[in-house]
Amino acid sequence: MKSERVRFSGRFLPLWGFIIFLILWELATLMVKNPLLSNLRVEKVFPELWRLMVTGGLWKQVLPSLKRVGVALLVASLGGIPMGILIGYYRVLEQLSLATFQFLRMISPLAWMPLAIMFLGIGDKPIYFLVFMGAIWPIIINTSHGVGRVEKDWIKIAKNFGAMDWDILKKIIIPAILPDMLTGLRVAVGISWIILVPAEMLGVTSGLGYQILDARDRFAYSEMVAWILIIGAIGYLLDVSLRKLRGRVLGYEKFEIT
Amino acid sequence: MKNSKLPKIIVRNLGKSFLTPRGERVEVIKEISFEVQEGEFLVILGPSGCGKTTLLNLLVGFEKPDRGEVLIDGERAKEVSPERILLWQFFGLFPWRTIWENIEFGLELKRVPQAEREKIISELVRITGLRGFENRYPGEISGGMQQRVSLARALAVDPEVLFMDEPFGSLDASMRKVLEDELLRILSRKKKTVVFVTHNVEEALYLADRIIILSSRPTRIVKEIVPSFSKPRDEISDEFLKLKNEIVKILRTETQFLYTVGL
Ligand SMILES: Nc1ncnc2c1ncn2[C@@H]1O[C@H](COP(=O)(O)OP(=O)(O)O)[C@@H](O)[C@H]1O
Ligand SMILES: [Mg+2]
Repeated sequence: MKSERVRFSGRFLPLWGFIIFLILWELATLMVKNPLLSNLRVEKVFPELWRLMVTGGLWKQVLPSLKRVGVALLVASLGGIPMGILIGYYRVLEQLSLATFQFLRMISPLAWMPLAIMFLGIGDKPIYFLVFMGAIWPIIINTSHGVGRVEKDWIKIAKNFGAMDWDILKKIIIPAILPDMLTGLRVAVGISWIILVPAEMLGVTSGLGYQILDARDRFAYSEMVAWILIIGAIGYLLDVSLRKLRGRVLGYEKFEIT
Repeated sequence: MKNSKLPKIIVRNLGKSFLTPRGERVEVIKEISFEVQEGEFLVILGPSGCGKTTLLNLLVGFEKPDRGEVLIDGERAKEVSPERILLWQFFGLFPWRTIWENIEFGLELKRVPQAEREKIISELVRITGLRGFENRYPGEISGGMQQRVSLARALAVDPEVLFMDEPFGSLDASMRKVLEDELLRILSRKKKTVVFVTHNVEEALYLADRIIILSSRPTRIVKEIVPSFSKPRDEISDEFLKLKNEIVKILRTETQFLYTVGL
């Protein structure tokens, strides 16, 4: 009986947490007497949010943003996964490159912004580049780490059954490193989404980051906060879906032989 | 077994040593020669650490000998081959594949058509007692079950020779007994040449057409024994116990207490 109730309420605790957050926010805007802050109240922001959703203005901005993140992640995966496999496989390559990667990883991608614009111009290209520079490292590092999971015995067994190099890559190495690859991808998605917003504040006229600046310039502060909430919500959904995907693809993981 | 027939496997003057990380040379196999006839169940019995796994690795082709040669059907085997499958002590299943997919592994590599695959796998699932477990993952099932899967995966590619490296060594005594019986039953339907390695005297006597006893390292053949009574054997019969005592005596003198006797 009791455990039933605990489980029931447990499922909704995150929602309650969010409601508490909204209440605290509302209280903060009520207590601090500031005409600007009154625009940020829940009762002003949520109607804006609703308006953006029903007029379709929301999707016009979300789609370009998702496209930019998607393209950058795709390129980062296409480059990072083979790179990670090679580094994981050849110790020399690992020793050669890992310190440099750790070094590059610590540089905020935004630091490349002036160079990106100088070389790639204005538009989507520098955004792809900046997001790519954030996403590539966790993919490389996690993938190469995953290669360590590949047991030598599995490769011997595969050869015993007649596997060639290509079969070993496809049927042993890739499935074996998939858990780490998906972990890397999940981290990369989080970083990409965070980098995207400031990156969209330069030189493009669509996307969620751009909308923040645009709303500010129109003095539409309630709308601006609505965009902020949308950014958080989509980021959250992206993360949840990647976690779900990982759980689904790796159904065996909870039974892993130790 | 006709002696006029060419032996399936000929092992001639095989020798193998390893270089340790410290640079010392460890001689594992001194000099070994024997033959395995087609369809024979040969058991190689030796104490732990004597070089049984090393010997199997040489026979399968994972390692190259320092001296001597291994002939399969009279010819020097160049590569490992699905015709000669090794079963591992710790099963060696792929954790990301279900039981069904593990058994399917070799058939995929052989590009066996889907319909035929299903026929082969469902038969093997049936005769190895895995029905109902097809969609489980290896981590979900017991060690005994996992070794059945490993056996089914090997049988799926219909190899000429099965090499088995203490396949039941990590199982408890009763499960081991069950699997020994199952192995004999399955082999009576699918005739194979088997080279079975163990350190367990009873297991050797229960399964073998012929037993080769190895000394401790550097290993050599101490004696060859052919149990004359037919299978299935009764482990408490006089002839069984008599032979068992004889083997234990040999191991005692040859291996300085390093032997193990099963329950
Ligand atoms: N690759 C290797 N390098 C160095 N020593 C090895 C290697 N493989 C096996 N040995 C040594 O050879 C001996 C026999 O090993 P093994 O064949 O595994 O014995 P068994 O299977 O009979 O228990 C052991 O002492 C082991 O340390
Ligand atoms: Mg061994």
